[in-house]
Amino acid sequence: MRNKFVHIAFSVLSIVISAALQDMALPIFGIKPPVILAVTLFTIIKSVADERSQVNFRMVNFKWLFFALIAGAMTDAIGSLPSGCAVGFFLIVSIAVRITSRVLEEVSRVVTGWLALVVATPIFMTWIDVWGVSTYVSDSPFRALLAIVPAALTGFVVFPLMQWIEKAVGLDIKSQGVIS
Amino acid sequence: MLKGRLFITIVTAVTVVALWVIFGRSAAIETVYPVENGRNWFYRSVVSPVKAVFHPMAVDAENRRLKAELEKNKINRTVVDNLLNEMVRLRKALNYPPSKDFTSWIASPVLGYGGAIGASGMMRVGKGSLDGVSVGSAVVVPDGIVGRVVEVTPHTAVVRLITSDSLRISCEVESNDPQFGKVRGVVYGGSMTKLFGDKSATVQYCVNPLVVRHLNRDISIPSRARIVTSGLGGVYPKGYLIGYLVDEVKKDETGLEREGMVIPSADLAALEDVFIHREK
Repeated sequence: MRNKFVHIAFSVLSIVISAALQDMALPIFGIKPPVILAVTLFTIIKSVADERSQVNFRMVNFKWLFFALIAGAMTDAIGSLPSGCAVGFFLIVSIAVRITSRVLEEVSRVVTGWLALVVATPIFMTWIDVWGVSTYVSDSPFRALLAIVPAALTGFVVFPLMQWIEKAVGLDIKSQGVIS
Repeated sequence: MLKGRLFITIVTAVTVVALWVIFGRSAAIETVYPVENGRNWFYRSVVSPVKAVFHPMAVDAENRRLKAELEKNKINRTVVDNLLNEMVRLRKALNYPPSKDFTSWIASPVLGYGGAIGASGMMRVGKGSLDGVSVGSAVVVPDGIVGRVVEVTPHTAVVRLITSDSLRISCEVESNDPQFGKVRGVVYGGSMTKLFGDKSATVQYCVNPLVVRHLNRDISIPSRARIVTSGLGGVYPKGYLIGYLVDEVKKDETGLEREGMVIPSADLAALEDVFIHREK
């Protein structure tokens, strides 16, 4: 119970700090580093790994849905996006990642998350543009592909860092006696 | 039993959605605010004092300069107050309505540009409704107009910059030549496509040119002319600098009016503090 509470608190705090960092960050090719998306993807992939583990096994685990909603709502608010824009996207991505991360069972969490981030970020920029928000991508749809660069760089930093912090806090699966 | 649970679920869902619509955005921004403001706090409380320890001579010189400037401003303030009183008396004598008071400004730190996604033409500042900021307030720096407040939470506000394509400012071309007369127009942000064709030249977070339109076609305005606010609409104070004409104004595609490119006078990409007009 305590571990579950610490996990939720850790994830929510991570999302809040990532939102602040993303808001303050300078853009690369006009696109801000997708820190919130990276942290959310990490949390969702972790929830899949948790479900597979013996310790935190649940038939129905909706923590990922809670994190996706919080992160989406935070992005909507901080990005001055129309209500539901980022929430909708984060929910779709979460479901997609949950499905694919079961398929990519053999691949590590860091690699899976990095790949998901690199693919999801350009789609998110296009998604925002479709909702009528003026961004750097608005100039040309092909510019959305440039989002791969900040996404890749963010992934390189965020995923290993999150895994390290998680280990330091004692929330990783190995420290709970289960090897994923 | 099942109906009762369904009813409770629906009521709860509707309440949660309603609460989110009313308070959600504000709550999310306010949650992030302490972390964002932490950077400013760290700079003010730690970096600045440490710098002062290592550069005492520079700090002392800066203090002396600021004290002298403050004394000078106090004298100027007395003159301005007398002029304001005189203006109020004269307006009353002429049965003119009182002009809007633009003497109350709040200094505010800039928290970030472009929000979480890098949206063009917006920034977030660290003062909100608790400090007297309201939607529609003008935002300026001593160099010129910055933009207008479009969203407010208790501690933060979102500012739409003048380079945003959704902002329009009524303006005048400033001239000391009495033959020149008064030339009014409207400044548009983010309008490079229509005037210059290729939008790919736009560089975000750099000084984006503005466009001044609807100028009298019979008057040729020289380049470098100062474009200032007209004061119409009551949002911005009259005569405040918006920017400078880059080149001579040319006739627009209809041939009925003139238009030209304007460089903002304020360096919008490098602002650390701004001043927000407080409605009394």
